[in-house]
Amino acid sequence: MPPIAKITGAGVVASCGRGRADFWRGLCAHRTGRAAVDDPDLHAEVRDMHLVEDAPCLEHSAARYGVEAAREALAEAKAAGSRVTCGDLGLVVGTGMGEATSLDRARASTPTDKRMFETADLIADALGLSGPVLSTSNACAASAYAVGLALDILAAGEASAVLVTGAEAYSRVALAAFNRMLALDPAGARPFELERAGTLFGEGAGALVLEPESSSATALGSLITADFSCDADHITAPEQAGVQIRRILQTVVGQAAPRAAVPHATGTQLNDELEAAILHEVAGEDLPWLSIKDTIGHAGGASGILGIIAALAMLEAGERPEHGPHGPWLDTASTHLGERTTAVGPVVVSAYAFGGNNASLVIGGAA
Amino acid sequence: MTIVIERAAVLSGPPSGEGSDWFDPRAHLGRRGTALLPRAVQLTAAAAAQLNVSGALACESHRRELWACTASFAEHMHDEMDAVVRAESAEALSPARAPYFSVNLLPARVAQDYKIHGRVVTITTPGTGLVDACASAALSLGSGRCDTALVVTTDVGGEVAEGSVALMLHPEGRGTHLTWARGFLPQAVTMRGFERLERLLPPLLAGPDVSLLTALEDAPRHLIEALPDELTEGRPLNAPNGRLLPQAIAVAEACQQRRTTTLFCCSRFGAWAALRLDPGAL
Repeated sequence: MPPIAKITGAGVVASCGRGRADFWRGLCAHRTGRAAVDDPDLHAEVRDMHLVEDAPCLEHSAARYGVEAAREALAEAKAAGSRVTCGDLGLVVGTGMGEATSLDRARASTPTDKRMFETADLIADALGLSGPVLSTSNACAASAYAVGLALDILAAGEASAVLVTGAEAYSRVALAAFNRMLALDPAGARPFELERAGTLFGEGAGALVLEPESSSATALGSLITADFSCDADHITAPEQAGVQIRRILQTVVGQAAPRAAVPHATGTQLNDELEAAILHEVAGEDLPWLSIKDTIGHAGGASGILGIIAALAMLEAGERPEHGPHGPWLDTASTHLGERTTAVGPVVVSAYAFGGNNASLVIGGAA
Repeated sequence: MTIVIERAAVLSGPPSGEGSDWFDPRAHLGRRGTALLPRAVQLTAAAAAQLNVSGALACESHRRELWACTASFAEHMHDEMDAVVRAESAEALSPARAPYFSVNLLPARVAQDYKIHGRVVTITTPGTGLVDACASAALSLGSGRCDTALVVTTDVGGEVAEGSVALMLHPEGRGTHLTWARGFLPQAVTMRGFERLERLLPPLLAGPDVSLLTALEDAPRHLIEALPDELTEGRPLNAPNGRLLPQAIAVAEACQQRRTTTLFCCSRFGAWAALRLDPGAL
């Protein structure tokens, strides 16, 4: 199947590293950036997160991380020969919490004139964009859905290129709610492990410049296919038979024959059991998987695009790094994890979310 | 391909903080399984129910899509939950309501009610979210990705009307044709941004009988100065704080009254969007 878009630039900010090269080094070295948040108004048992910076957490900002990642992506696209200027660009931002950090701070002390979902506006204004600017908030699949919206905008010719950004920073309300739902593991996210007991949040942002296949720029990767579905079932748990997850995974695997995977892999009981079983069944028993949330945490709306950037790095490096000293894993996952492997081709990246929102995309390497 | 709004339903009333409550969720949704839902989720489900879409959703479930937009649901829930966390602890949060810190649960009940297995997307762009939701649904319909799309707009809290509006969109067929344009004019105004506005906006304003509606309460000066005079003389909607509900009500009324209408809206930073509604043949 021919790619549906070129990826001509990418940028990233995460707890394991800032900038694509440092991000990959941090992932390979399992540099976690894990620390307790220093918000005095958070009264909750689990206070750890994978944080991007040392500054007081109430001063963190999704938009600031988004701008940083976007600038790296645009610089990379320019170096790749892209003729796109900020004046030609559309922007789709995927964020679950937007500028919630500012609002958390404002409720406790410092007034703010920010609104929760002005992240996209702030990024567009900082970069001087003029194309369509959208914000989508499909929880933990938000930036994967943002890629889908960007593809629609490109296909319709509403913009000659689209910058897709996922961005997330500390949110007191989100961390408290996950505490209340007993969905956090004080030992850290342990994707696919038998002893896993929940996830840990992370901060971060990722950005991609998407251009039509006709663009003359050198692609650092490609988007081969993407599909989306909704369980229309439970508001937080995946539908038990995984019908809609399996449907879109079968579609993209059938179209693009991936040779590696970056699963959603949150460390929660239900997600990992179901995802491992379906991915194992649909995409093959020997496919190497890279789970990244044990290192960078669950960056909510940014997690999908961070998975894509990890996939690009894996394709560039030609290897899937060794997983950390973890295990034992679920039976359906154990053959896919573990030691370093060099058998890497197109990578299927998945992101799932509250509300039963599912996304699967396949990323190819440079042409 | 022509995309049409086939039907529209409006459910709206005064803010719930003003004494008597105009909305009884049990009357709209029945008595089972709705009492603990946040009001915004109840309103969204009730507006969709008012559309009477069951018979019209003849397509396969994975060919249905749902697009939701709101300017207030998340902040409303976060204000409520944060007060509990700061005064007591996370443990004191209601377990039934805790998941609703996530704004994308606003349309979850509608997705369940109508078995929507295609994309269910929550759009949160301030000021222009309704046009973005309609445009995104139309692009999906136009590309053949889906056969039917619902667009729901809900706002709650504050001192202005609250409620929900549901629209049903189809490719072709009877209804109100929709076209749109959108862009961004940064505060450091760029020639490209100005040219885009100047190129894309006039066709949506053209014609002798176009009713112009504007949501400009948040509009920054640099954008106002760039707009054509006819637009600044349009009928203003009372849509403070980027509220999308007044826009959605106006769109629904234009569809129901078969009035050629263009809605122009924007964000505080310079995102702008216009939606033109042309009544099709009966």
